[in-house]
Amino acid sequence: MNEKPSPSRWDDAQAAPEALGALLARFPAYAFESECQRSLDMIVLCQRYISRLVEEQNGPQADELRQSLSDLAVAANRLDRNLGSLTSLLRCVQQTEAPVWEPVELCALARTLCAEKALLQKDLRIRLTLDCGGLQELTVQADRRYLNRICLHLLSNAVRACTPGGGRITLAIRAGQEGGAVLTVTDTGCGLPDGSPRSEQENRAHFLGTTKSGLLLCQEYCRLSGWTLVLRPRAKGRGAEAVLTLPPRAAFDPSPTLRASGEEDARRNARRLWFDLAFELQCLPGLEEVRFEPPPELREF
Amino acid sequence: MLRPRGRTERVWSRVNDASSGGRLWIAIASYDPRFFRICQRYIAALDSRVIQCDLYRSGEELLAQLEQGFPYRAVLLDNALADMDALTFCRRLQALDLQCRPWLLLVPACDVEELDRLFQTGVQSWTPQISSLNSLLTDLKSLLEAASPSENALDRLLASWDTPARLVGRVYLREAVCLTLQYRSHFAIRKDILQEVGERHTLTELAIDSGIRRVIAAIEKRNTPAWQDFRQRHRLACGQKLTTGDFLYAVWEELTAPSPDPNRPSEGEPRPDERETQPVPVG
Repeated sequence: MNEKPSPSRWDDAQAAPEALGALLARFPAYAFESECQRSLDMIVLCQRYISRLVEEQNGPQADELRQSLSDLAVAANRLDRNLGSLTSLLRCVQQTEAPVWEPVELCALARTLCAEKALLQKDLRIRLTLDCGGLQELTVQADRRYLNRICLHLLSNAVRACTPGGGRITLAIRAGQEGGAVLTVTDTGCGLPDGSPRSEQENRAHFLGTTKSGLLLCQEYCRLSGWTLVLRPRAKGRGAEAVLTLPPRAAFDPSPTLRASGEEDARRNARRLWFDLAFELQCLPGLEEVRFEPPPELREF
Repeated sequence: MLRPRGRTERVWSRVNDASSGGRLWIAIASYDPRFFRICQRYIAALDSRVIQCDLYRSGEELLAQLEQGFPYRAVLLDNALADMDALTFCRRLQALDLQCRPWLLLVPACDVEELDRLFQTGVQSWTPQISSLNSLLTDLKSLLEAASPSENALDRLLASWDTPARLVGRVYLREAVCLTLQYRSHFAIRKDILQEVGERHTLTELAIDSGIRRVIAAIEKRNTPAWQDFRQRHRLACGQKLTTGDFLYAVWEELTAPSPDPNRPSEGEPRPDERETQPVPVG
């Protein structure tokens, strides 16, 4: 009888990638994600409830308690972010994360990404500049979730690279040569490691507490959508440049299209992106305890 | 390392406290100030009187301190430090002399199995007690129970008073002092201490008391400078006859309270070159 042995150890599993694939396919991703999210929500709600209780209290004990509650909120945020990356990657592996194409107006998206530039300047001495190259609007076909995630990741990386010490970040949007678009995030931060121990150490110091799963997710989104993401040293001087290229894609593409129509949809999208931006920024060193308030135009739903 | 001022002096005083005070020194190593704060508060809630923490952002600095012989009994290690990750730190730790290594490694954020594998390799096999976050509280408590620097300090104290080794009362005294160290504040000399020691030796509390008083008399007779200092420090007036109770309380204070003058080495304290080898559990 020529029966294939069932993989019972990691070594065997490596020898049988199909078994590993089957295991991943069977993994109850939805139940896992919803249970994790539920636990996180409960932690956050408890944290907020206790925070409310100690709000009115005074004295060193109350201060210590407030500080601990703040530490708890920061840890919960980081866990939330990392679990989010993990479950998104899992959905990619399970092929349940197919792109959903819709028209996305890039200049508006970029303006929302820069909504907290005053805060970055004030708290981290980072000057964030938006450069749309004279464009008022540039609409491309894109998966909005992918694009939001990638942009937030690139912005967050650039801020980390410039922290502490400050620097400049430029978010540039250009139309592609034959349609599509190119989005570039340039920073004057620590730059990419060049192989020398010193640059490795400097890079490591700027990215302490990160998992690199965010970049992996961005790369996976690019693979799924046919975009390219290139990280390279800044052309002039210290720093790095991330270039996301969205090739042209016909609006009549056969894949399903959810068309954002009207001002209300645009505002809803901007509001959702702003909350994601605030969450992303709150996971960065130096901004963990900032209480973000939506800009007036996004305050009311 | 987050110790901004008077570093050399403070290190010396802490070495004193670590043994003469029966205290447990723990190094917390992380890149993240929040990790420090959270761990410190957690440990303070456990027992801030006994456990004292030093904070290190740099692995190099902590390794240097360990190499110089600072008696950290435990290192609470985050998954990364400012200058190295936890695994690199552990590899470097393994290269230190056995006596410089901490007894317990608390690694709430690390892969415990990988560390186990790491510590089982190398020329000088040494597997520290490794703890995870789940077992952190239990492990710290058992570390407290297992740690007996006070007994060593007591022996050194008795030696500095030139206490005769042949007196049977010395055994009773050691046991009595060890029992007192289980109490945070007051204890009843007869009921909690002497009776307990007596039961161990099937003797009456009076016999134990008498044995200890003979030891005290012998120490008084030798009257070494260390003994005179001790009496002065604990306001035991010269010529005053010491009861077993007064004596036990004074020794208990000596072994549990921090030294009033941080730079004054205590008699019960080993000089840095006399440090004892850390227990080396091989697992």
